[in-house]
Amino acid sequence: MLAQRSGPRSESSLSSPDGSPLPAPREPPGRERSPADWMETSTESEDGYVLREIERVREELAPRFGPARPSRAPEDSHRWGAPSPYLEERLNVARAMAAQLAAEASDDRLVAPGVKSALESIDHELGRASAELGFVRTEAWAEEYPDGVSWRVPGPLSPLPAHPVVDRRASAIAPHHPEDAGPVGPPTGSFEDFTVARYNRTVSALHSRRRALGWGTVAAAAGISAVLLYLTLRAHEAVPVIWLAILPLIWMIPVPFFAAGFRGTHRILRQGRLELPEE
Amino acid sequence: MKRPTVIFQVTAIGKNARALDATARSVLFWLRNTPRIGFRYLLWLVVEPEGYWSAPEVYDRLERAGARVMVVPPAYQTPLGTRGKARALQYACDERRRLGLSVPWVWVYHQDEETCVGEDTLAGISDFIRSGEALVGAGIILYPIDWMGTPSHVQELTRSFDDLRVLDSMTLPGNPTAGFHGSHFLVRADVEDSVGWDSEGYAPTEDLMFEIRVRARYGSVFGVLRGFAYEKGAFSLRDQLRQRRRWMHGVLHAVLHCHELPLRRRLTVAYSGLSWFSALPSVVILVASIELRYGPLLDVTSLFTGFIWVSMILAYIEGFRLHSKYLERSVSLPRFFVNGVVGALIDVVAPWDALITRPSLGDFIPKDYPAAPSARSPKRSTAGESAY
Repeated sequence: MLAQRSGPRSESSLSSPDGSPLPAPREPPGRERSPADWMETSTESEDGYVLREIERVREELAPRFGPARPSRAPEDSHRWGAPSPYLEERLNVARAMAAQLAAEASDDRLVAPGVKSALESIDHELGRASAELGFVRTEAWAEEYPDGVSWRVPGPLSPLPAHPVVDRRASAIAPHHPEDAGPVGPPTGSFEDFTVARYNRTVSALHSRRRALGWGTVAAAAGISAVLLYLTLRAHEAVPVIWLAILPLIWMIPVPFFAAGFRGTHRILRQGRLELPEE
Repeated sequence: MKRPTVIFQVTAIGKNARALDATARSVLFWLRNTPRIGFRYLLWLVVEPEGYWSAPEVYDRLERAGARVMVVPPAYQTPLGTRGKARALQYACDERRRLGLSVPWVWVYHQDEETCVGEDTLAGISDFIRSGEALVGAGIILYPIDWMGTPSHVQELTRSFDDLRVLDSMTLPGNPTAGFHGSHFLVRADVEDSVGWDSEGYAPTEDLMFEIRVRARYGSVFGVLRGFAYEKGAFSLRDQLRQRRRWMHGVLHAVLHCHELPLRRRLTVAYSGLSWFSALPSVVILVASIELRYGPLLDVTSLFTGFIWVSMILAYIEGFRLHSKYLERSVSLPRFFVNGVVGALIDVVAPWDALITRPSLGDFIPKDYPAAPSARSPKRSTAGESAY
């Protein structure tokens, strides 16, 4: 962890909201000090640097940020390999067992609360794992990557901050705990609700009313314009002075923009390419 | 064929820590729960030092969960000395080059600190990369998060329906109505890094400059990114005004200072700005028509007035319908109408406000709900502080 945070600290004018000095932020990994840089640094700046480093290490050791951060060791950056040929069979066995347990749990009133929903969640996840396994097998990707890059694909046990790792669809079965909703839950719009199904329903509805939208716009525009025209003609206004006459022309400026927008909107909807394939 | 990698890059000052936390968690959550996404991922949080120090525990927690927190060093400078968000974006470009990630199989999905993703977003990204039809993709943004039905929130609904116009324009040669996004867009890393974000001084709308440069260098390589992104609107009318003002500053900056803008494109961008400017005089003239008599001229203009009115009203109705499956809070029709009018008036005034103000790096827009007291009164710009 310390190695990750090593490197020279620039003199920073940062301060906390209460005015007390804060340690400078971490330097990016690419800006770490090289031996050549060390040679070029004056003794005075080295002393200052060492003192700052001591101060920083002291800060690191203080329980300021909670538990230590996991290191970025090479084992952290695992790569995908070919799935085991027996994986599917094992998944099927596990799924059958989970389904059996869920069925038995429904008959037994003595089963601890939550076990049944947990078993259903397991069953659901196993089903997904089978589907993803099939997907991985159909995709032939070469495994060539630049060195030094940490591929942060989280493992099944890596933490997801402040939120339960539960599929929203599964959570319809599992009991909901509002206290797990994360820090200061928003009044509306939780990201767990943003599913492909909901998206497809939205864009499909938009597609389905495309013609009504188009013709409705034309009809309403024509109707309003006709009324305005009627009122104007009926008023029998005199021809205005020329400087006054240019004022209404300002209304005409955005007409091409709106016309292009109307045409573009319907062109996108007509192409009908917004829906996504569902699971 | 190499397995693609998507870098989910959140670029922000970082002071809206709760919003950014939710954004990062949405990425992590849906990466685990979206089946059949055909890419690896990296989650980068590119923030300014003051943002990091506003909530270090949040960033450390996210880092433990798999995100990589990149604090832009205060001393970092680009060759042309750009400032603001473009500087942070350029820093991320430099990091990608250093790590060997500026390659055709790496893609960058750009997010603001309040750009949450859903299952559909990830499925759309996967689909876009798989299709290989374009190098840059942008999609529709909804604003359901923390939606309260305030005037600025009602006004935001219209942007989602307008995104259909944006997508069409963006995919056409020349982008005739100047459509693009600063978030919810996907770009191939080598394309982004070859174009970069560096420009002289402060570019208020760095996304517009980026789109101009990509188009100038690669041509019409833009496609539609399916799937929504989910954001939140400005909480107050003042914030809405500052946001829109910044957009107009960006348009003016592009028209007046962007040397890479071809003449034809410069005219279309200028016309888009002019259309927006015309809104306020139109309202004034409409009110004045009660007293002044324009006479037979209205015979001509009234033919088009109906079309413009209907188009504007339709944006509210369809914008609301797009959001209807996501909003848990509803407002009465009269309130919706009044708030819509108030929100529209702010949009009408904003470009003119841009004429009498200067682009400011200190335009920090709170996105955390409820807004933190410190966020309401941000300090004046320091070296690293910027308007995002």
